[in-house]
Amino acid sequence: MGFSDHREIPPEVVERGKGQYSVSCSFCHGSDARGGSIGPNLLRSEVVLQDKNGELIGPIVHGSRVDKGMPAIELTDAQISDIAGFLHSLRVGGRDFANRDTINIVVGDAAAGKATYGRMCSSCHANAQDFKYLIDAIPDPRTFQQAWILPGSPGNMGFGGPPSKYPGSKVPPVTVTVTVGGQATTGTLERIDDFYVSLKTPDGATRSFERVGDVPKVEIHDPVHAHREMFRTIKDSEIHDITAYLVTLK
Amino acid sequence: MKTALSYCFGALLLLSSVGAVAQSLDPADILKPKPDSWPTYSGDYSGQRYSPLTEINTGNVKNLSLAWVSRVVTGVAGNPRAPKTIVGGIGSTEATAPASIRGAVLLVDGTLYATTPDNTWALDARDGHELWHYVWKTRGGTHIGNRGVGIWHDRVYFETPDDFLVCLDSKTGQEIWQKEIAPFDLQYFSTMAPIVIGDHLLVGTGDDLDEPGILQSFDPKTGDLQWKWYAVPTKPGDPGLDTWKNLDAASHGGGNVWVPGSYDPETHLYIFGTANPTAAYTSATRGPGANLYTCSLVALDVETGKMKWYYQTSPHDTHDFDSAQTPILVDGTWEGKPRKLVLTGARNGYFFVIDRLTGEHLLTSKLIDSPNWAQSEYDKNGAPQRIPAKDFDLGGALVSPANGGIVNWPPPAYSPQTGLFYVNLTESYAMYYLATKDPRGAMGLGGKDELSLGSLGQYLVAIDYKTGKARWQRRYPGIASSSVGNGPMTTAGHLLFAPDAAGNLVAYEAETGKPLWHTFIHVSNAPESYMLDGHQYILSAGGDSLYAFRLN
Repeated sequence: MGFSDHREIPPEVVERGKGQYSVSCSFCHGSDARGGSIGPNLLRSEVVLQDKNGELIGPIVHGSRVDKGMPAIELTDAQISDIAGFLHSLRVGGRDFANRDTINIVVGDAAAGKATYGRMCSSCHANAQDFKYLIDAIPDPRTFQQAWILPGSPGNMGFGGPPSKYPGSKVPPVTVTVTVGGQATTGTLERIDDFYVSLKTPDGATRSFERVGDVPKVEIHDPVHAHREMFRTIKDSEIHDITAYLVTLK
Repeated sequence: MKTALSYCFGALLLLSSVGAVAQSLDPADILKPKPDSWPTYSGDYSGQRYSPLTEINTGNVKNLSLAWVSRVVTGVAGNPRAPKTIVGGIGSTEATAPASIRGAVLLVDGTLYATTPDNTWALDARDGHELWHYVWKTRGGTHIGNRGVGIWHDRVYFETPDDFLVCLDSKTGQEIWQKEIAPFDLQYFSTMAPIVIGDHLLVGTGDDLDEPGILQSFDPKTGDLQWKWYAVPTKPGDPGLDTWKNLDAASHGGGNVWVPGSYDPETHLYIFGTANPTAAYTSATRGPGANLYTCSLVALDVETGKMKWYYQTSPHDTHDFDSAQTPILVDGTWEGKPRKLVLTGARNGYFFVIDRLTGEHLLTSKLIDSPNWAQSEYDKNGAPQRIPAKDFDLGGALVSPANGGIVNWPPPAYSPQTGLFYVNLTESYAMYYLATKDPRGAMGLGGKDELSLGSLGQYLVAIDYKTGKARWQRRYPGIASSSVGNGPMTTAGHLLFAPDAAGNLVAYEAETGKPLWHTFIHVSNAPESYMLDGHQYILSAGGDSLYAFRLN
């Protein structure tokens, strides 16, 4: 459960208020009410947030803050109520998803990226052309960049963010081999801690084992281990260059 | 006449105090908690989470077993086998999320008090059965968690997500009063466990928009405001204003107080951490300064609410790395001499030792090697210096930690037997992308997209405060997640009880980190310990259930 991020205001009120706002307010407070060269951001204004129908905004519009630089504006109570309706119709929330641009993340040098790819990636992925299918499948470069940095990663936008559009991954699962008395069992890793390990064998059965110290022997096979290890050393410029190179293969 | 009246009044007081023997806590008892109590968030005021009990120890902990388990059910319907739920609140909505107990459970006079957002329960500590259940009908707000109750005499206090402080009768769960503690329209939400210090009830709040952080002290009897401290300047002339672009930026600057602090009875200082500045990521609107007193360790005189000292652990934070963590007070030694210290591990990945009388900085180190958002050299105050290119990048900046931090709100612990600071942490990484080119930036936590890259390891770490280095660390096996584990507890039985990354509660030898006992209960809070009827108990929550363990 969260905060309702905008109130239900009749569309005709919003329309009238928006027009009146653009005439009387936007010059100082910005056309989107996020602040302008002189006036502060009204979306996060304590007065606007606590106002219901213009009753808190009105006195200020009529001159109660002249000493603080807010001039008195000639508006009727009905006009102020409409402006309040427009302001209250705008989305205001701590995640501020309303204020977003489309930003091109391909900022690297493709030629340098080709060399970096050769140095950092080609020992496992000899032919970058093999990734053409992936580049074609993920048209958004940012999603593609996340996909090559950590294949199969969830790529969610952190806390509370919208889900990413990461397509179906072909990354094989993490597997584990547990060896008891010379007999090895291998399967998809389900859970491991210091006391227990469980895996799913190819026939769909779950096998579990107690762990005591190093017994039994447990080997985890993480197909993207080398990608994770890279986090500690790779430079942002190397990431940007590799992405710039790979997207040229499209 | 006057004498007779006084006599009568005295007799009444005596009667009421006799009647209140059950479920009543003299605030003086929090200064030296009785063995059969857990009377405040951390068990005592030091924040050490160290139990002096010894019945359970390294020699016998392997025999620890279940005494009882009790499941709680949220909402007005509640548990059908329990007494009828008491309903309060001024809203019309019943939050229906299943119970997950993610805060402290207090114990006073044989009764346990547990919470989830909008819900408070009293349970009999002898078998876990429910005595009463109170539900708050809500106006909405961020229902992210509730960190527990505070108790003063026979009254129980908790905060609601829609910003009420509710006072209940500890015996019956009946509401005594309720008070709005922050304007809901400004998108404040409240999760903190209230902290009782004498006749002060300390209450913090949270906010993810651009409102100023607040710590307030209320009269526990009446709910009247005693003092109110803002984490950022809110009017001309306030200290710290020169570290902001202007007053508008400062008064929208965040620094919320949403995690309980610790208290030093000798100096009357309440010491706690403040959260991130806002706008959290697009920081140009805040000016180039330090943005005081966000991301700081702050010491206030509990009688007046006046600040005695501060130490900023993340100057001009740009990653929402709150420094709100519960600090630990230690009477330690520093360079061979006794010294009153405060230790804290911050979400930004750094560990600090500070003189708690003066705020003098003594040591900074990394909780783990990975944080890469700051330069290798500390600033003149010993604090990490941010690298602006790691704020975010049009092409993406790879940063450790992810927004959730190396650590987060779950408390650390300390053992005076080992001199070690214990904490669960994660070596998380994320790509930070700019989300708006608007030169005015974004509000709150907006303005960037943080895309997770998981973690290279979740660890239990034991840090020697004298060096700032890990004496030992255990990496939990398997592929790590970026989530931060729950808090540990130490005991005088030379034990460390800590939740692991998979959901086990594990007992370790505190000196070495050798595991001695475990149980798989999906731990959701930090463990606690107390004596009852001659037995030492270990109490831990696992989602909607409370588990009590003892030697049977």
